[in-house]
Amino acid sequence: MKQTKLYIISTILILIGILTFSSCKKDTDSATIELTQKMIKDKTWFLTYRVTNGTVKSYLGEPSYFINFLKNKTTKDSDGLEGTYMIKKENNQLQVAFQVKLPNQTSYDYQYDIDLIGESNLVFSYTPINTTDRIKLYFTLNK
Amino acid sequence: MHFSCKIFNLVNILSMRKPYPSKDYNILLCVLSIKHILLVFLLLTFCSVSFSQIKPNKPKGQFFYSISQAFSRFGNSIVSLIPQKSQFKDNELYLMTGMNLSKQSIFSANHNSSFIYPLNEVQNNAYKPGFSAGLRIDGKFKEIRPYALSVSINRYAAGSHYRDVKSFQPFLGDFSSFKADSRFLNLNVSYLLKKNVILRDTTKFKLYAVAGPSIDVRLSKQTLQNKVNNNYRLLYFRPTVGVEFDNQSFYTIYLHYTPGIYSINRSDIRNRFNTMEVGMLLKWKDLF
Repeated sequence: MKQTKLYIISTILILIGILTFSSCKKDTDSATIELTQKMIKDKTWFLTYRVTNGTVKSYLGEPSYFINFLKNKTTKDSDGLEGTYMIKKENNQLQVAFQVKLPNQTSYDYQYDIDLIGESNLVFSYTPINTTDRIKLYFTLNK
Repeated sequence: MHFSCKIFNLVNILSMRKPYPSKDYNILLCVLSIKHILLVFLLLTFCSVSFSQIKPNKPKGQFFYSISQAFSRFGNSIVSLIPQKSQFKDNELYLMTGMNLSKQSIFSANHNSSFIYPLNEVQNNAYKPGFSAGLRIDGKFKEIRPYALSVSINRYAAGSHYRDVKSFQPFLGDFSSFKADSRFLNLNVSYLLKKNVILRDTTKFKLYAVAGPSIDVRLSKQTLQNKVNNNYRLLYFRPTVGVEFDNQSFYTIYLHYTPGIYSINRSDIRNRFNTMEVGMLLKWKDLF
């Protein structure tokens, strides 16, 4: 009977111990990239606002830039740039890196920081070369 | 479909994950978590402990009698876990089942994340129903103070009340950077002290006021939205208060309220998880 008790108690202790420690695995970065990918893909994002140094330019109700992120990690935008994109996290900052070809078939690489992302809202920011101005681009799913 | 996949799909359905495709057995072994292996191990422990004590010379056709005896012996072995020399006397095992209503009260405006969730999509200010089942030992501490120790598996479906929100007009409307999980599977351990409230003749029924601490261990995994910051705690403490109606020891009906005093989330999210539970206790001896 004593052995039985010991058996049950040790089983419960092992269960509690393993339950406590088995859930401590930190795979937050891969989850962040997976969630971003899930939110961004298979959608066409329309530019609605562009903010440069506090100056807001609205594109609501008028034809504007759009970018399409496909499921197979390829992208195409309204300027005719086609190529691939990759979501990554560097220095705790979410980024999307593009490898595209211009209409004249020249290769061009660039990347945006992802400031905010939701199911229907997306905010990119970047600093153009040779300037210090930070530009924010607000996208939605509606024109 | 392979038998192991069928079992795994059943476990997934119970823990509300997507069923696993039957093709990839290698990935199955990787995904089959240690928790599920332990559950099977516990089941085997129960079987080996209970059935090993049944005498083998029973006549044929008494299969159900043997099952009943196995459960009975299992109940006895649970009660006998409490040492006889301890101050906890008159211990009786009960089967408890109940229905719970839960809601999360969330303060998440200080939470910084790149992800945004429109408030109109995540706000759900309501108590939602779940259920629970478990075992409880009732007895007397130092022969005068009634107590109860329960272990139960609780399935919570919780509404989410966002108390504060962020807004970024004109670009974005009201939103939150935290999306609360709506379903949880928890292991709950409670220790309750009982006080007999004398209203009428106690030979007809007994009414108890109960209070005590409880610990919840989250068994279910977080959704992808919360995995990104590992938002939910694995283990949290809550107090439990309530009343219990004991009808001449035939059955006991209980009503417990477990308010969330501490946050069930980490760091900058304050999330109070409140639960109300109504259920019934039946003596293990009466059942088996």
